[in-house]
Amino acid sequence: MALEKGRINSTGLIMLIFGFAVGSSALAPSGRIAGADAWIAILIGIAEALLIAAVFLLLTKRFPGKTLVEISDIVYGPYLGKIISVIFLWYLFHLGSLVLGNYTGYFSSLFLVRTPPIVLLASIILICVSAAKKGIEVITRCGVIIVSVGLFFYLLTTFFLSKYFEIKYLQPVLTTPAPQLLWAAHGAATFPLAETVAFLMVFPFLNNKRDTVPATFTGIIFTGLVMTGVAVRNTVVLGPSEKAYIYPSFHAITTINIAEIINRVEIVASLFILCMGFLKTAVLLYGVSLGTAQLCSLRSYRPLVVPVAVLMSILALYNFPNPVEFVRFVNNAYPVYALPFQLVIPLLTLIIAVIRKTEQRDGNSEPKGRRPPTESKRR
Amino acid sequence: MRLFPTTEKKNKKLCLLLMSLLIIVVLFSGCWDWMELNDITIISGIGLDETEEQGKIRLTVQVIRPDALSGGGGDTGGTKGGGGLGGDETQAVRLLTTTGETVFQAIRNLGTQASHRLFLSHTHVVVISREAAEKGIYRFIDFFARDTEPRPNIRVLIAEREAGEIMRHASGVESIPALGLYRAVQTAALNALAPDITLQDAKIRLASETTELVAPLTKLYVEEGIDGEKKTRVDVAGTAVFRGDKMVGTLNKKETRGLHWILDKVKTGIIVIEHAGGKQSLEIVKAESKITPEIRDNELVVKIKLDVNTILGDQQCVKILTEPDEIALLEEKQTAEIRTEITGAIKKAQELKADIFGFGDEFHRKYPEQWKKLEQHWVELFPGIKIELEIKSDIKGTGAIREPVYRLR
Amino acid sequence: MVLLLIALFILIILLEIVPLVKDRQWKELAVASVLLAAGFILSVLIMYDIDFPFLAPVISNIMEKWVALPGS
Repeated sequence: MALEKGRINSTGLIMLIFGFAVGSSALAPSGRIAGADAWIAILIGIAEALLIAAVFLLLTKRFPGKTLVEISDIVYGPYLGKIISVIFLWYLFHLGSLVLGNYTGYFSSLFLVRTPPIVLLASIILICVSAAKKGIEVITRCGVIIVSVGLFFYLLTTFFLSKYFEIKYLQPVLTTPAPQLLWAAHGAATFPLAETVAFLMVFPFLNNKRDTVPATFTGIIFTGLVMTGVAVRNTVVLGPSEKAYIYPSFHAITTINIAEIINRVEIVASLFILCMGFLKTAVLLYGVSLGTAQLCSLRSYRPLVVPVAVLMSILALYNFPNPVEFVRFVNNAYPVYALPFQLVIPLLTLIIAVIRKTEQRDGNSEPKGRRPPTESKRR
Repeated sequence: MRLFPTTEKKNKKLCLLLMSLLIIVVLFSGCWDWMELNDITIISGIGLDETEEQGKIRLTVQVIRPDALSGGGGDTGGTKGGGGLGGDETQAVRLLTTTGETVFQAIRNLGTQASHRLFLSHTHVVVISREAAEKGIYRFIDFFARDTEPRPNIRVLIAEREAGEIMRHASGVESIPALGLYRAVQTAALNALAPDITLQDAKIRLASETTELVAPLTKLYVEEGIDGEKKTRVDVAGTAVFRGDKMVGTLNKKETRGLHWILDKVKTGIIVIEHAGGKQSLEIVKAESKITPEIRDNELVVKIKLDVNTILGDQQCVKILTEPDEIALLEEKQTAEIRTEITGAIKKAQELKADIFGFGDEFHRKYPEQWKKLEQHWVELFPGIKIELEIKSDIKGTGAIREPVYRLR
Repeated sequence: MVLLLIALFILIILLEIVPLVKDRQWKELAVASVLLAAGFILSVLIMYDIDFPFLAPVISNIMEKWVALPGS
């Protein structure tokens, strides 16, 4: 595989998945529609996400070492395959712009109020470009460090918050009407857990392909558990006021005030969350660039990273006119909008692959029309 | 250009690295939001009143002068009428007053008086006048919920008369009076003399469907100093009770402690009882309460179980009280006193139809199905709740002596 | 502001496109240039205050028409 020569190991993948999923969830926690039962919704959502993941994992197992773009080419043939790939890449691209816009909005509205949002956006995207250019291995290595330290810090803040916990705010339990609860669960599944479908562009670079399924499942479950923990923490600290906040995690952490010395830690927490956002955006940027390069049969994806980043930034500014639309999109539209990309495309591809009995065993069947791998200059 | 004796490529990388570090330093010291300490005016306390003119808000703020904090002069900024701050301590604050149609506007209007940009992250207290609170408190609170500069641990207080005058006076030995008030509330709450309500607590209570807001009351009093000079000080005692966002009444000292007993917030304090011809003080060392709601035959009942441990702090009579039957008598009287305080608080709250104890939430938690019907009528149902008190109070110690150090002659 | 934008794009071209020409990577050059040009055109249009529709409301509207939702 000439386009990417790096390799990642399964621990790296798990951490990358975690950082990827937390990257958005920290800013827009899932399941809030279910109120105090959000944690239950998330647990259900984990199950649903695992089911969705099972589909695209089966797909990648069938075609180890191939990204979705390549798989589409094989399964659908050169013309239809490219169309499917474009649709899928659009999803990654759109998702990247959503994350970027989300983080810009978060820091802009809470911390750097007078700074033009473009400056914030540029700061984030620049480092993502640098990371994406260096390849998935570098991104994953960053991920390992960021996630390790970030997790530790998360545990620390939860520990500091424990004196403000009022467990009774979780009660009464399970009083949310079932449709609402299930919709919240579905929301948690599609955002962010099943977004791991994006890793269809990353799985080929796993060292040991047999680790793909366990690593992904571990990643999803682990992320889901942490998300559940965050939901519980926010509910028991903020109580009935939780639903008024745009960023409940922020307000929960702001409460920390140990002996008037350990306080104002929300900025440090936000920095870690920013790092997760960087991970997610970098992975998506990488995925889109790599996919487009494969689509056009290029020898290197690196030249595409900057143009894609520019386009992504532009879209990031034009996603939401105001927070009201953001809420509407996340609660109502996205759980439906995301499904075709997360579930339908992989499912369809899998079904057709089975029907056409197309399989790839250890790279024996090389479809026609592919150039032999060539060296490309490292930037 | 050779920076270091390295290869050409490494040289280029080094240049780029230095350039990017430079950009980062410039950008990440806060970008456009970069604030220097001497460019900001730190507001340490805010007082909100209604003006004589309808619908406008008067804002009185204490503003920190960093130079004065390090021991500088005692120049006090002026306000309309009322003189400056209590004179002989080094005042590290100035007083500014403005008006505006909303809280936010009033704060911005301060810009003409303050030479620098206003900074709210070090605000410790927000005091709202009773008059304004009776008309509705949320119009003041909303700004503090929406803006991210004010911290959630700001203490909210209600001034018996005017918030501005509270801001004008010192509260203790602090050089920043607002900070003194902040600490005073916490100390008062420790002794269950007034509730310690932070902005966060206020938000939670206001957001709750049935639990009502409470706030500590504060007022001025005149104190005679060591040199005989009279000074006006600020005192925190008593509770303001709200229904919705309007203040409807108060709890006195005993009723306030009753509130604390129920909310499991009594940490320490003195119970005074009369016995054997004199008054004895019992110091509370432990107090735990448990609230259990019950619906019995269409009647709402709340069972409150209290477990209190005290130590004999002092006695005025000279009888030896450390015998078991004497102790038992004392415990009985102590229990009676606690019962009085609790029932007093509940009675007052029920009179005011304000569920300040969170009983509604307890019913909601235990009986979620029935709650749907109860919730809408809670204001009417709350006064009819029957309370069953079970108090267990034990005297666990008598201090260092086991009998009075006094022989009857 | 337009000048700043142009400066930015020139910088990008210098750093990204020119090396492609030097290395004779024609295919990569083509794709990258197309994408970059698209970005440039869009940015210029935005600069000149041409209103673009925001994407999320469009998607939300489509989704709401198709599906009746239990989400509150």
